[in-house]
Amino acid sequence: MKKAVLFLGLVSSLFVWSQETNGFYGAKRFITVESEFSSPMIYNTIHSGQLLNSNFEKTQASISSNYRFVYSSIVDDKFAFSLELGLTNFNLGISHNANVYAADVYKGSSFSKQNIELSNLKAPLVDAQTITIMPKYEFAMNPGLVPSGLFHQVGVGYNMTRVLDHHYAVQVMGVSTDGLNTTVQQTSIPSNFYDYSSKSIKTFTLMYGVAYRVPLSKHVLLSYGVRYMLNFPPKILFHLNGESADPKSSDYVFSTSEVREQMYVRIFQSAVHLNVGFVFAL
Amino acid sequence: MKYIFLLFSWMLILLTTSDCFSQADFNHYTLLISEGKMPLDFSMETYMKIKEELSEGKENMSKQDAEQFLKEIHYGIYHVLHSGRVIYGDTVSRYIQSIANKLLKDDDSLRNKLRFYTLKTSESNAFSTEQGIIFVTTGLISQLVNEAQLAFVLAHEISHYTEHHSVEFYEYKLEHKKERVDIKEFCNYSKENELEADRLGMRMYQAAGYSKEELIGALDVLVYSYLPFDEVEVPKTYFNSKYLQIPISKFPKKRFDIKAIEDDNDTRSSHPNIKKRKEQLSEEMLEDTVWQTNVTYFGEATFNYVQSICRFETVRIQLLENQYVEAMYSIFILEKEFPTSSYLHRMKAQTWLGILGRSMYGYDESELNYDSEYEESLEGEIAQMYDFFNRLPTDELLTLGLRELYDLKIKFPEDKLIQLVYELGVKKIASQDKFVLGNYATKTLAEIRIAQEKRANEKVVENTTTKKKTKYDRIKNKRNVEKIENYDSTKYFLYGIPDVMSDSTFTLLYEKYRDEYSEKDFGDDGFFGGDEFGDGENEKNYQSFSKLNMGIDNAILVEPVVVCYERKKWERDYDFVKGEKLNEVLCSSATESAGMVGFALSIIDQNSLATKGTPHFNDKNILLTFGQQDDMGDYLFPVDFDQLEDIKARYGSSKLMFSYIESRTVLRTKQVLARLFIPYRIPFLGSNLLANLNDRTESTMHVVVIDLDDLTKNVNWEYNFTGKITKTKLGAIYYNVLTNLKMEKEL
Repeated sequence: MKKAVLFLGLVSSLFVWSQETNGFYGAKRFITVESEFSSPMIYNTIHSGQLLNSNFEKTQASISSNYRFVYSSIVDDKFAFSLELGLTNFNLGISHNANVYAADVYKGSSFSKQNIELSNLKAPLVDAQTITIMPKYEFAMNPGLVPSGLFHQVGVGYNMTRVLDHHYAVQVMGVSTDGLNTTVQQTSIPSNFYDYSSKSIKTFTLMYGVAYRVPLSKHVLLSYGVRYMLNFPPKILFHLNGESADPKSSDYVFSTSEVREQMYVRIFQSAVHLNVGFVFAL
Repeated sequence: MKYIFLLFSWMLILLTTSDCFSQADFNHYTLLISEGKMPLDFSMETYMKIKEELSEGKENMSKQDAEQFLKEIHYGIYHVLHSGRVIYGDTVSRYIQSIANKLLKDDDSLRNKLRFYTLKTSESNAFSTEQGIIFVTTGLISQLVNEAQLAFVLAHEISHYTEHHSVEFYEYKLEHKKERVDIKEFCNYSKENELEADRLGMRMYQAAGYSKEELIGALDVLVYSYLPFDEVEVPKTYFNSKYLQIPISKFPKKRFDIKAIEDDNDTRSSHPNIKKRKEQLSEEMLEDTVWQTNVTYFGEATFNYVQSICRFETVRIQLLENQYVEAMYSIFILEKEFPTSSYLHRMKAQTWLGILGRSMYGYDESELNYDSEYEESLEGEIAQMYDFFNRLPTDELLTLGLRELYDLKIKFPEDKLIQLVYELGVKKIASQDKFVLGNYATKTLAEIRIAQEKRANEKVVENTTTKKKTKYDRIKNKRNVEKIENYDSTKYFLYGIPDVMSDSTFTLLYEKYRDEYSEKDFGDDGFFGGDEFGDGENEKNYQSFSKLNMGIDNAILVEPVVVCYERKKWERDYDFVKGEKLNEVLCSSATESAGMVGFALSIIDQNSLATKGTPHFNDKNILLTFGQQDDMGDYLFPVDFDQLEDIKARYGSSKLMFSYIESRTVLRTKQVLARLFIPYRIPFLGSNLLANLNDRTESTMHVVVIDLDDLTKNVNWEYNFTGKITKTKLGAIYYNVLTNLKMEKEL
């Protein structure tokens, strides 16, 4: 209920504007369609050698992309209030630290029945997707011409991230304990790789950005800019003692809590984003 | 036969001179305006002129230097041509042209090449340009004595042109560009050119048959041209009227000497001193003994007529330039010859209004420093008037101003301008705390004296009555008599406007303006109200569009312009070509936005001169000179009242809108690099770069809206914006400006 009220409040504020607003050619609202890209340089550097592709060869996380739709209402000569809906696609490495017991792996897998004492489990980069809802304020450096010119943007976003089910394979390396002491390397596509039906992982984003919008015509503007994101898990705000244990974690190769931790690391290390798009002044 | 010849001759004279006498009535003098077909100098875009001349090439100059030279000379003249002060085809320009034709009677090619225009300024000057334009100022003609002197000035300027002195000087500067040349050397070079122009000009003058006696006199004009166009003593009774007589003690007791000398130090001057020029000409004159004695070819009356026009124009210019004492002195001189001129009366009323304004803005007698520097600055007969106004206490000055304005109002009840100026004068007086209405007598001195005698008689009668007076009756009686008897001669002015004080229309008007003044909230920013009128020093202050709210839906937009500064290496420079091209964009975007908003905007600009012609040019000049006045935060002088009324009627709007944009290209490399050394700012380097790369151009749009009905600036608004100036962006700004002008002002 609280969320619904909050959401309604946000949306209704978009339809409130001053009658004396002086936007670009009298615009009172504008819509932005943007794509944003960021290269996970820091993440790749820190996790160098640990990230694998589907052939279990060393690779790097690819550029993450974001597509968003922003509806903005011009509040006055200098300010606009916007609601942003965004969809971000990115890669996530989850295998670099994944030492699991064979018994855990064995369940539901297609491994041969060997008694593997300890397995080093490897998984490729998984695809993840984040849906963002972000109310934001835009402050114009050219007052009276919103949305053209240079803008400073500040926003607080709510992200819901989930891992996409793309039938990932895993690879296990270990030593058999059946007396042969042979090294075992097995690859399979486990059906219990991850609980895709689990709740999406929530994070918050603090965003500051600078956008520059060049008028192409009276109603269409080209927009480009840079954004700084500070993504952090809600536990920083709400659960200082850590999140509750996932009761189903033992059923999957990668537990939700484990992936969540990796996700936090991944998105926290994604700070600088470049974007380009079009703005339609209404 | 004889009569037919005489009749024919008379008709010929009439035909040849009738043009010059198009303005025969100085009693109803009308503004000197351009006439006839507009020359290309005014209608053609300057960048096109440069392009055209560049294609012809310049000798001894590389293409780059030639382009720079052409830009300098063309854009230097561009601002003069479009200043609102240059006219063509008018009586004065035609007169100048006819004298030039006389000088160039043997050189058809040169005669056809040169163009002569009148420049309306009180400065005494004439100058020629490489393009073949010769400007002569109204101030110069006001000072000259006869046609021959004007002929010599023209011959001198024509010689500058024929000898291509401006190109030579530019080449000389180029040659010495890399050397550290003392300014004196440049001055010496320039002086050589001047002396050469004198020599050649003298030959041309001589060949035209003008008298050598007038030649030297022409140079005298240059020595004393900083003084008014005549030296006439102002009588100490000049400001006296029926009710108000200014005590003689208020006028300066001493005379102020004229200090100009012919042999001044000219080492740092572009012109040689007059003594050297006179010496050279005297020597040259000795070489040739064949001289004719003509002082005029077109008649003394024609010269005097043209000179009177220039002097009338000088009064107008002085008023526009807030030179009130100079204007008053010029009026004083011209009144002698044209005592019934309504134009002079109108100018006089406005001059008094200006003088009343001076008392408001720091010309208080207590603030003036009458030191030796002050004394040094006073020269000639006009100094008497200067000193008089400077020393007259504010309350006396206000009374005198009111007296004069009231007399003019009574004398010309039908004159709308004088009535308007009178009202503005009362408004100004009402805003002065030093003018205390209750202090002024409502009776004349004569009436007071009669009352005094009557009172004295009553006193005698009272003394003889049987009823015994008490001590207190006697005291009261005594005080009443003393009140009338104690006439204080230092407060003479309090008895100088009894008729005004008795006029209820004045008191009502005064009370109305006094109340308005009392209710006015000047805020913390003082009179000029930093909030309402933009503080030029604080350019970053954002003035919201709502400041433009006026509730109007029509205006006349006068010559919107863009001035571009471009940073070249480390020097700032004008980018004239860019600015001129953007002017066209500015006009078209304003027109387009006005259409979208539904705002009736009439644009008077230079881009449409070629199609709209001379009437459009005249309108532009009238409005420009009106709008360019320094209003000192108050009102503008409607010096061209009739023309403004006509423009109002023709364009159907009484709102004038001026808008100009100043655009600067700024490189902030240092600021961005400096951030590298501030650790916490490093993460934001990207956004800084983005901002700095895109917003290298900073611009300020100024919008001024003047109400022609109440002569005040209703709006004085500034808007700062960044980024490249495009038609779409300008259109968006105009869209908002016009939208907000349409909105009613919030109460």
